[in-house]
Amino acid sequence: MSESKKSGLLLLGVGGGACRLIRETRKAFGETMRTLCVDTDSATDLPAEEGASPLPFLLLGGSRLAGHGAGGDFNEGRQAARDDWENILNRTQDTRTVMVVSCLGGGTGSGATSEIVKKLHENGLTTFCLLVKPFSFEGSPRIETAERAVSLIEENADSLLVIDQDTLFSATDETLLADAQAAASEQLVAALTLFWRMLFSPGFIRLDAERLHSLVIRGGKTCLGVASASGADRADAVVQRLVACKLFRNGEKLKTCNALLVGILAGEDLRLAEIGRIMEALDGLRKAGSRVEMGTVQDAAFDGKIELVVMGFSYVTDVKAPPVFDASQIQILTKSTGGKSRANKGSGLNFGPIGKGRFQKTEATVFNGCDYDEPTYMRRGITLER
Amino acid sequence: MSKSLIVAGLEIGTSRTVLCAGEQGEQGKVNIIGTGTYPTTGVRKGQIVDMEQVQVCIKRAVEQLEESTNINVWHVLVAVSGGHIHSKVNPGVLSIGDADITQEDVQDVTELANNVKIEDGRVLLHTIRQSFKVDDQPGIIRPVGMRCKVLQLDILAIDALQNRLDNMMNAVHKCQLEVSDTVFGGICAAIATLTPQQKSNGVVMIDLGGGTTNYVAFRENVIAAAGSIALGGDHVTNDIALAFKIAHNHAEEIKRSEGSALVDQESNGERVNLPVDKGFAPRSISRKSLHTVINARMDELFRLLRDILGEQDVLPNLGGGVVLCGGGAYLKKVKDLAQNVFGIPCTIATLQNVTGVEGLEQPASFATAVGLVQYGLRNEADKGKKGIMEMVKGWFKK
Repeated sequence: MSESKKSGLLLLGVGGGACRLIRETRKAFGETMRTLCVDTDSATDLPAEEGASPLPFLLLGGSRLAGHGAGGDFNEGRQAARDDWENILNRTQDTRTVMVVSCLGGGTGSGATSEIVKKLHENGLTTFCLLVKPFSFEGSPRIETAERAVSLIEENADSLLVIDQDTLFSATDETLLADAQAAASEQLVAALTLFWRMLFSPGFIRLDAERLHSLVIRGGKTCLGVASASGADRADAVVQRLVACKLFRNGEKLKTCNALLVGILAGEDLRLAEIGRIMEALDGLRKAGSRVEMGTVQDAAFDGKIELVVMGFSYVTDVKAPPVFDASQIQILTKSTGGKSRANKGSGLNFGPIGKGRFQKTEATVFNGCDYDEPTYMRRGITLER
Repeated sequence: MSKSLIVAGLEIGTSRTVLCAGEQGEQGKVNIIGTGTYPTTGVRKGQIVDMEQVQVCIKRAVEQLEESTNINVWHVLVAVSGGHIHSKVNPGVLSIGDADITQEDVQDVTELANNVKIEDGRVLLHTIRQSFKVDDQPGIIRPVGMRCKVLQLDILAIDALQNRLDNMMNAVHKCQLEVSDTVFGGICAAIATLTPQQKSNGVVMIDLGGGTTNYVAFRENVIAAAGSIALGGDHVTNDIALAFKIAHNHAEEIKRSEGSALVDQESNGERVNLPVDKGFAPRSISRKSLHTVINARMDELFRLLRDILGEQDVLPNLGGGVVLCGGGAYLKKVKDLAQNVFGIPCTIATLQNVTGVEGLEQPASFATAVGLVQYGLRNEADKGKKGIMEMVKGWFKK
């Protein structure tokens, strides 16, 4: 049994772009990584490389699309996921947290992902979605499809990390298209690999699946930064590069996060003082009172180098006390989980008593397991200002 | 004395009961001769929960119409809405054996398609012809003369729970009115609001009622999808009441006067004064919070509709955009929100092919009742006879 299976983690790639990322991540991490790739295009199911075992693959909507792909059609992607949902479910046995990776804009990435996340949610699985939005030059139909998918996925995902490829490379950047895509892919693979290594590879400090689960379940919107450095001042340099990372908007994003997941990958030459310097530098950048979970991974192949990945979660940490009644200052306090539905979620936060007001004794209006008679702002975890 | 066929349509809405009477006017238009309205009590989400209160509402609406028009109402068409209304496409398939399609074949396949199986306790409201499929070629309107092996006709069947209809009929009967027909409210609103051009281009009509939201989508002049969900403006009001711990009537009042479906980021710090009951201290709430509560609910409603329409493969064919009607259509910025969610142009409905509605306040909120009248008159014209709905103007003057 793979370690990730024991921990109940699964890395799921949806669509051709995501499957390529998963393939690269698995190559970098090793075959003990528990993965599943799903796509409507049978061409994604590439033969295994020499000496490697094949990447677990599931064709979606085979009877509908004959393995030719969704043709950019959102609904085809969604229907295909519905057709094969039972097969996906069978592959998620012993799974508690699913990290869903998807490149949006196409039919499968957008349509199938939104459907799969919804179904995973309905089946009580915790989902951490890493979504990659297309470059703006790819055209408005792809952007609109991606936007639509994000809004649907957001409703059911426990944690959501949306990476806009435009934020990696500006429009005036002279980077070649192929280089830009390769670099974007490289960063994502690095982040995924390090993330997995932190969970399953021995290190000075290990991030266990339980701690990850507790972050993801409360996650909300998430941001990500990756940087690496070598040399004598590598600890300081890696933080500087991380702050400069476009995904982190020059460090501004760090100040908005209520929890940080910090991963440090280095060789066996990693010193305690270097970990201290990195964490001290991050302390000065993060929001006061935010939670920090840190893990290190040591691998001789990384001697002389430090790779740093930081994931920021924007969930609301505190639950405010019930309001004191003041005739002129009515305040509405609810727990927030970052704007998503929690219906049918055993592991979700308790919002406290949810009143249905005048619909208390009527036949409930239920769609997809969600009671729509409960106020939307409560179900979405929206905190209202005074 | 000239006789004129007058049809009356009754909509027992969750927030308002509307009775509308009309006759065939000039140039094919329907002339609305009067309306009677009364705030509804005893209905939740389109379903009767208090029979006596509902009867009072119907009687008051009838009285108002009769007083303003000098007619007596004996028969009414009744609009039906609510989450219990379902629709499905029922295909009829006929094997012809490589021959030219005849009119008899069309009749046979229509009969097959109309043979809709529905669950016990449900009753069929409408069967609406969609299009023919000739072998593997879909979207055929007139197949007679075409050569094929298998002819298929898709019918959109709309059904409802029998007991919910019975309750409504009983309430109407107890007001000494005969029910000449029951019609799905969404179809009525579509008749009243959509132009032939919109139906041809593909359009979705969304009737934002108090307790229910009806929708009807057209694709190439054919009803492609229709349904009703038990969510409406009452949910918005309920959310406001719970969010700010205020009475339902006060919540309704500020929703109408200060509500907006979009949150204005510049409204930070602005306050909305709440209605004050005698003896209570004045209170105010954040305008931004009010709009946030409304936006969350309306955004969710439109997204749900978008999902439902997406599942029925309607979304890619809406060149005519989204048409909003019902009382909810007059919520500030609701059109903009719908446009954002659906990503296509959206408009507030205007009543089509009618006269006599110029004086109506918020005319799109009368769409269902006006459409009922249009439906009734059209049906009578189709029958070519004057049925039980016939009333003679002037004969029953008070």
